[in-house]
Amino acid sequence: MSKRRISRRALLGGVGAGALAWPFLRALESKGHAANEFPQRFIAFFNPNGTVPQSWFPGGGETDFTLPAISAPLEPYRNRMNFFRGLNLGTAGVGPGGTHEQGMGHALTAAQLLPPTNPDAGAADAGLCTGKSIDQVIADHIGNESAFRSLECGIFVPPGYERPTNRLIYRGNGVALAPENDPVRVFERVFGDQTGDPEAVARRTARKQSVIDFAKADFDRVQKRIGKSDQQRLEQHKEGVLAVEKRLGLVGKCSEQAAPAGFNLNDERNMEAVSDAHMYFVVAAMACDMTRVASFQYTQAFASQTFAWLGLPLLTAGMGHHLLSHDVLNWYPDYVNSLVMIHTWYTRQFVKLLTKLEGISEGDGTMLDNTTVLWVSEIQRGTHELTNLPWSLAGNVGGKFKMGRNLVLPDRGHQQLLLSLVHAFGIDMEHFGDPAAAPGSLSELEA
Amino acid sequence: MEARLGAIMALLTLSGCMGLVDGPIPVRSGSGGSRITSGITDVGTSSIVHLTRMQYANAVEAVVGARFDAIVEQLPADEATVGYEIGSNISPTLGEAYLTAAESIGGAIEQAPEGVFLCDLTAPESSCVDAFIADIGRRAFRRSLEEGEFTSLRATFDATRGTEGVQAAVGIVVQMILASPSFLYVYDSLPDGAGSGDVVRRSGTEIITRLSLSLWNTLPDVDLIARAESGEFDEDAPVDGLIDEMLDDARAEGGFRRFYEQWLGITSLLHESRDGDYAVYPRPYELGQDLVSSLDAYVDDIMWSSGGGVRELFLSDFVYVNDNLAVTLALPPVEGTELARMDSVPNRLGLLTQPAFLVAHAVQTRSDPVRRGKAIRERFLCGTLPPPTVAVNLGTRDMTGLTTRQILQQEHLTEDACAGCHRLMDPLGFGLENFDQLGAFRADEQDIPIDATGNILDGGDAEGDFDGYKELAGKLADSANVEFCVARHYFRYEAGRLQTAQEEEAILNALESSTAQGSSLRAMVRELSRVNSMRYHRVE
Repeated sequence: MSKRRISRRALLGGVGAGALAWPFLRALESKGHAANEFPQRFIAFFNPNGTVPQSWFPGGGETDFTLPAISAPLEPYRNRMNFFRGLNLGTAGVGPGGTHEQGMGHALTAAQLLPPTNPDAGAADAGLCTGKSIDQVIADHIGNESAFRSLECGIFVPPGYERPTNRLIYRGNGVALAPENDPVRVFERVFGDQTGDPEAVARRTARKQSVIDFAKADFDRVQKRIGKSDQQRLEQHKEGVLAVEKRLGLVGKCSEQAAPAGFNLNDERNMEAVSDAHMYFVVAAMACDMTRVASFQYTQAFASQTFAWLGLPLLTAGMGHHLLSHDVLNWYPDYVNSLVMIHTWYTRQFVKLLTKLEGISEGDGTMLDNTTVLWVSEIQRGTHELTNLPWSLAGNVGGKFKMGRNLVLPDRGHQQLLLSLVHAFGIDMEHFGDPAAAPGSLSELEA
Repeated sequence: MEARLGAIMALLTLSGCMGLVDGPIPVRSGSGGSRITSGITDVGTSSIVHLTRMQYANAVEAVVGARFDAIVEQLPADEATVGYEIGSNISPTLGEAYLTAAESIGGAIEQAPEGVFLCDLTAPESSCVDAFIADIGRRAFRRSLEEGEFTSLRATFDATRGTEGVQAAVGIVVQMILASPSFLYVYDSLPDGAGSGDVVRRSGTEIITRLSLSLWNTLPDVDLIARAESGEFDEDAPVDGLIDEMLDDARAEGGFRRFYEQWLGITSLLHESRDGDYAVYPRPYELGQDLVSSLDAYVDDIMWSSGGGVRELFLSDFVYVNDNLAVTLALPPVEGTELARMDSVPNRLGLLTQPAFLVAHAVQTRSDPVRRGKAIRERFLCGTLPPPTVAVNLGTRDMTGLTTRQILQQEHLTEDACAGCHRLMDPLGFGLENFDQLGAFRADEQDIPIDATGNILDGGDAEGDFDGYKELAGKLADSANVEFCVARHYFRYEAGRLQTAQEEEAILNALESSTAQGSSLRAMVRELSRVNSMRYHRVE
């Protein structure tokens, strides 16, 4: 067993909850794996409203590129990343929905949205997505042995109804996985069963088993009475119950931990603290191999956070990110720096994630070497283009991609990037998402 | 523990359900009540749905007698693409979330079990425990427990009481019941031999569940369940009587409110920007509450007090305000936080100028005729809009000193790519330009007098030009097309789905009956609750 060295600061950066840190880190250090036996992981990272293109896209050539204001914080990781220019939403315009809706729903699925069930709905309205998102495709391949097939984290995703603009992750046709906004609840879900004295833990487990047994019998009873389509719908619920049951036996993989303090999730000044905490728990869960797949969804398409707490000059008091991104580009170019400040903040959060992954050593390298992070947004910028998306990729995908590049692509579709990624995870697929979209993978990526 | 049990014993004398202890324990065998029918054609297909979050919160209260709103808020959001929240989004995440919620509520009940006990559960004899389990199961499942269900609940109760005590035993039973599909889902059970396309009459318990959820926004109570199980609602005439009975019940206020708050699109006022003391946003949470309560009071007044209909919704000239709202709306000052009715309010007429409607369909920084126009089209005209343009880049223009209307006219109505859609929305919203984003009246913007002229395109008998909110309200109030649209919306609310072409006929017939009764909102709801779709369904 090799002993792990962990940069405590990297893991903790910003959580500020010292009490929960130390016992956990001890656990990590004692749980080594033999070199090269570390699992591959996948993380999706989403920010809304695109970017400010002139301040995001690298200048220069494929390897000697320069990073402007929004991408500048990525400088320490430039050799671990790929930037794209000319990557389009390959399924744009296919099926229902406006640009924000399609951009969000298609991003990780490359599948079209369901038609709006409301015939009087606005022209841009649509239903949920018809396809499975890439993180779930990968999770089906690598995530079945860990306690959680995947963890969906939300950072200030507004509490409104489920719709294509606020859902990124899909299990399948019309089945979205809602992100969890509260890091404390992520903590409880992942580590909560392992806290407390062993007798209490055993008692809780026994109770859960009785509840699940009763529910399973009730599933059987209801399933016998309803039609086939309804049976299939109800199966989705049962799958969640069975996943919980499977985890009941997996107590004690990570050491005992103290619960973190709660956050006020209605005060957007807490965005960064909430983001930090989510990252802490996800990276911890990955280090313990409780999960191998995760996503971070920051707010939603049409996000209306003001970011006033960044000290940015506001056009009007209370103007949110989405309106700002519209109005700056259409009417008030003098305020473009406010938008740059917002998007630079998102870059800094992405850098924090990479730093946390880099802070955990695995064999001769770090967790970042065994993780692929895909950063997406639903549009290019406030004027809604679905071309030249400001996406990027970090990690090294098991060494299968050549990294450190600013790739100028000849009009390639995002479904081709998604196909390359699933191939890198050893998944045999001929096409990712909509079969009518341009075929093939993103050959430019391969090492 | 001792003190707690003292409180439980005290409840013995308070409980109105004591009769259950001595009476027979309702446990049923077999399923059913639903039957294949012929001759009914105007019904569509219904899919299984989970209780919406609000239904779940109310249902939990109906089952255990306490509210757990903070726990309910942690459940995944409902879907609402039909325009009304429905529990059609069934996922593994939801399944796990329901387990967690049941555990939290069961745990809370274990700590404070007052209210769920019917009698002294510490006594070793079985009758009280049996009654408790049978009663809570029946409330939750809207039917008597089956033998097997009853037996396993009882076994778990006894085992837990033996090791962890009676409160834990109550907690685990609550947890088991609340995590069960029979509690969480509304579905149609198929009688033997039913095949795709068959029309099935729902069982009495299924019918009262649907009617309770739409008319009361909660589960049926034990009395209704008992009546349904006795076969009372196996025929249609008693169901008609039941609808009148339910509309006379105080719970009907909550059901109708759930409809119109969604119909008018104002629920977002309670969700958005709950930023506490972080006052950069001109729409604080408290104002959102006041706005929604003000609109509730307005519609409730017309529905339940004056007996008005859709026409009165558009043409009544009163507003409910409190101190805050009066200041926000620049109306004569009012004292206190209680809402009071202010009559003959100047510069305001009907639903369109109710502050909640004006604010919910504006954005933080401006009046937004596009959103207001879209709301009028979707909610009152039921008009479809052409497909969207994928990306429009207008480039940079100087908009300094222009009014909202002038900016939109430049942007949306001169560009062909935009005008196709926006001419159906913006000119409707222009009619409300006399009201800013907080709903206050204004005579000018940017020192330019407000131009509130507009027109209704593709609006059937409501079509034509208007000048200002009064003329716009008049056109909508006079329109049969608008009344039909409102009825279709109510149908979507109660059925949780769109109407089929045949059901559209049924809605028209219901409207005709309601017109014969004076066109009141109450008559409309009554008739729409009587449509076949609430009692029958077509097998998928």
